Amino acid sequence: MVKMTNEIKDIVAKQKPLPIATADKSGKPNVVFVTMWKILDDETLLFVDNFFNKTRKNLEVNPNMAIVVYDSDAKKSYQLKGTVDIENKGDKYTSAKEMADSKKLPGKAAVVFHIKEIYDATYGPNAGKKLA
Amino acid sequence: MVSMPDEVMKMFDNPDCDKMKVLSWVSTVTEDGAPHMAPTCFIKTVDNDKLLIGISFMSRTTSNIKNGSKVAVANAVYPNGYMIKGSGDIQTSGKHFEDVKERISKRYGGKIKAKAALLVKVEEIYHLKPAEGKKRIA
Repeated sequence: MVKMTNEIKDIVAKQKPLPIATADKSGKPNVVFVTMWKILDDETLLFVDNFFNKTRKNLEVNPNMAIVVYDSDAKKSYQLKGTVDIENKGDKYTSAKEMADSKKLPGKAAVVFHIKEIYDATYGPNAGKKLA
Repeated sequence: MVSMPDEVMKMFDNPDCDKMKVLSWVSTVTEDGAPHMAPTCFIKTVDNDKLLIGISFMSRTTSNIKNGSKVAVANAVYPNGYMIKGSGDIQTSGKHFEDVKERISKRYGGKIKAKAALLVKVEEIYHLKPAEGKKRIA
């Protein structure tokens, strides 16, 4: 099992906005920035779909997603790769909806990101090194 | 022909990796269809239809492009952001490579060297903002 360290979780928690990459079936990448998510546990993040357009379409045909978190003060960066489940009911959806409601945003779905791989993305010779 | 408006050019122009400017995020796709993403600060516009990125590390990005992946490059000063989609070309000689080599070498006093230049031909431009609807502007 791949787990985020406390250091990575701290960066995930404070970064805004966060870039997320998806790909369509033909292999074309897409990047958007999001501001609404929370850490569910050491290996799972919950993103709220408010205005996903291409991202949502891509995830429905290709559940792979990558995010990069970056701490400019500590000069540390990590790439997290994994797959998502899109949920329209249940506890995680309720939680996503509550987050969206508090900002008067649509909260269309919970995008549950299961982290499968973690890479160092810090500028330097270790960039790209698989950490977990 | 797609050409970048001034406000887009401004967002992607950071030739000497000024840390006060936002990072740009370069996404490609692996052979198995999964997205990959790497940050860069060495980026500038060329003419008004290309981005030039200096590569010192980015080994996975490089191999993905060599395997035929398209490229998406995005950055944001929230809530405004832009994304460019296009075709990438990895160059290890010629004027673009010499250009990034000189800038990276100068920035790091020779401690970090350029491995390649990534030239992205701009094919689609998106204005990313937290709102409903299509975001493509060119």
